[in-house]
Amino acid sequence: MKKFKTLAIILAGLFLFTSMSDKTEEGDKLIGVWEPSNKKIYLKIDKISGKYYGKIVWLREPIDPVTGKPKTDKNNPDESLKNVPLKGFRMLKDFVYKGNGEWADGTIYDPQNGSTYNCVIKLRDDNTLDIRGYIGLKTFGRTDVWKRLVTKKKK
Amino acid sequence: MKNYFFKTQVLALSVFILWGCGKSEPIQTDVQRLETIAVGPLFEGVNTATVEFDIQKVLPKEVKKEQLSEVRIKSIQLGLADSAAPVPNSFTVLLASPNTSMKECGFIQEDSIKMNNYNVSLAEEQDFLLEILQDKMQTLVIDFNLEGEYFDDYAVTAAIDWELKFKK
Amino acid sequence: MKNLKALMFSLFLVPLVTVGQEEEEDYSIYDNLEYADESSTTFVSPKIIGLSPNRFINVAWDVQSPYTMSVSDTLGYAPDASWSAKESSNVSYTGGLRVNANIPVISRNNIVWQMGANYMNTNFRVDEANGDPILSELKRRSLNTAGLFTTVFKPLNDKQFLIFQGQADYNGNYTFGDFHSFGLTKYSAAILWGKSPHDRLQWAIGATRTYRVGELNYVPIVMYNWTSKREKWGTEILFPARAHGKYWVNKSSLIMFGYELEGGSYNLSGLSNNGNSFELRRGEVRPRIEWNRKLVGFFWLNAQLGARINYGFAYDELENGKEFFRGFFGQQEIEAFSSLGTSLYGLVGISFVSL
Repeated sequence: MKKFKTLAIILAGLFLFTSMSDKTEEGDKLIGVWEPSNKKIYLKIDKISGKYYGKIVWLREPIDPVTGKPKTDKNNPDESLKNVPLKGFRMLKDFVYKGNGEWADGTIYDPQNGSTYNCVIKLRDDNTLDIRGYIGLKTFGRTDVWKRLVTKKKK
Repeated sequence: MKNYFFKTQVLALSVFILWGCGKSEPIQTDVQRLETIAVGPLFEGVNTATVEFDIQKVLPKEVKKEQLSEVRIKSIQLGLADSAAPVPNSFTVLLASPNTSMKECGFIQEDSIKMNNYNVSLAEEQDFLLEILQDKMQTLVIDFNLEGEYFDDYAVTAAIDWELKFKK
Repeated sequence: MKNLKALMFSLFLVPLVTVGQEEEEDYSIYDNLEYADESSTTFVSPKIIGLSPNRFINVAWDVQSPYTMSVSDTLGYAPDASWSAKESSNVSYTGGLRVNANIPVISRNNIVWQMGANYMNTNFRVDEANGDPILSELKRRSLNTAGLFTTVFKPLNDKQFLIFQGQADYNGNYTFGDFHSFGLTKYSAAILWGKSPHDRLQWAIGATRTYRVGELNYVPIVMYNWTSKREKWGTEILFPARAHGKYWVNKSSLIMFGYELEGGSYNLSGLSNNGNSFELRRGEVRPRIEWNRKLVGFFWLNAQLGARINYGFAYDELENGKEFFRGFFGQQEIEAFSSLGTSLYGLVGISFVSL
């Protein structure tokens, strides 16, 4: 009986551990470089302290046509942060993997108007994301399709 | 009559204690020195160095971080741990914690870096700091923009001068 | 027990041992990336940079200053006939509540479909009806508009798009306990084809079936939304319905200046007999200045100040409630005319918006 109990504990622990590892692995599918459908930027999503964040790593038009200098976060509601370079800017923040290919509890920032929206990310397939930014209810939002980018292999 | 005066004194003392409890007191702390690491090899472009820390380690023993009432950053001075490492074009400094949202604390522009000025331009709004510091742990995040690839680990040091107040 | 502990500990260690990938990776600039499988299609956005806030929900109150209203008798007139006033009255108050909701049903990069509803109430405080049937009827009950509408924005590629809008308006001086026939609902629609050459400009041309100036009409429409490079000045035009210039004071404050046409065809139940519908064909031009100001979060204040200039305030009797098309050149008889003096108007509202 004692041996049976011991075996049961081991198996339960193994099962719990495996499912947690699976969840982490599933959640890490978000990590990588992604391109929104407007093809204006690339975003790199990484994991910091268990949550997922995305920063702009490339801009199709990196120079502001008005100032002639690299684009900055000129529409930030905080005046003191209006000169933060857009290259490197954290557009996606605080996403937590919820299972079933969905990341939630995060926000997406739109540098074009300085607004921050609630956001949910769904993995359509390994190389496609549905990103929905919304206000309050998911109804008041818009979904965009992002595609994964990979580095070209050296021949 | 005696009873009346006694009650008045008790009331006055209670008000004084409560007022005293509500008053914030400054905390004297040393500048906190942290080293963030970006694990190489690194892309040309934007990369990230992070370090986890707990503000409790900076506070005096008698002060718990839950007692913090006001938090401001007076200054952040960045530096490169390896003087031979390439100098980035820009830095952005952010703070995060498990149960709050990541926030920008400040940045350093290319012009400042060229003049060897590694003092971070701080955000005016810092109300978010209190909630972050009261969380179980904090993560300092430094995003930096490299001009070329770098194959080793990259360390950025941060000296944070906090302005902290607490309520007893 | 010791063996059990060792076993459990070793199990936890397993995922920390990772096998490093040995393939060569190119760590040069982000310009040197490729799609993992295929790229997504780029579709033109329904918005341009600097567009005024899109109102999901809006609640407002509209009010006009006093003016004189004159009415003819109901003898029947040719559309271009001259007429003289049979009765006049001061209208000391005109105004009421306006509520509008415009909710996305589908909102994706390849299609945006919105459905909405609106309600508008206009109360005429006619001081001296003097037994005139039309003035008495306007004094008796306020005018209501309850409408449903749908808008579809369909991008065709990264530059071109189609817009379709359909609307059904139930207009009249009904009360919620006394509705007129729903067969008198008025239907409008618009269709446009357009282009967005860059992210600060979109233009479109199309046609519309509209009651905007009172009676049924079919007119061409032109849309021209533009924002300057500095994202300060711009235009938002949907001609002939409305045209505005705009100036962004900052990202929380927008001033617009221009005009809008308003109107509709309203059943007046007290004058409708024998299955016919006695309808007020009301149209007005509102030149104005508008201020949009962020209050908190996504709630914005909207305030307008301008003039209400009467475009048309005539009456038709629809036989069996059946609508007819007169347009600009038709000669069908007009039952009666009214004229309204120009007044000032003000409107204040709060909106739940998206930028």
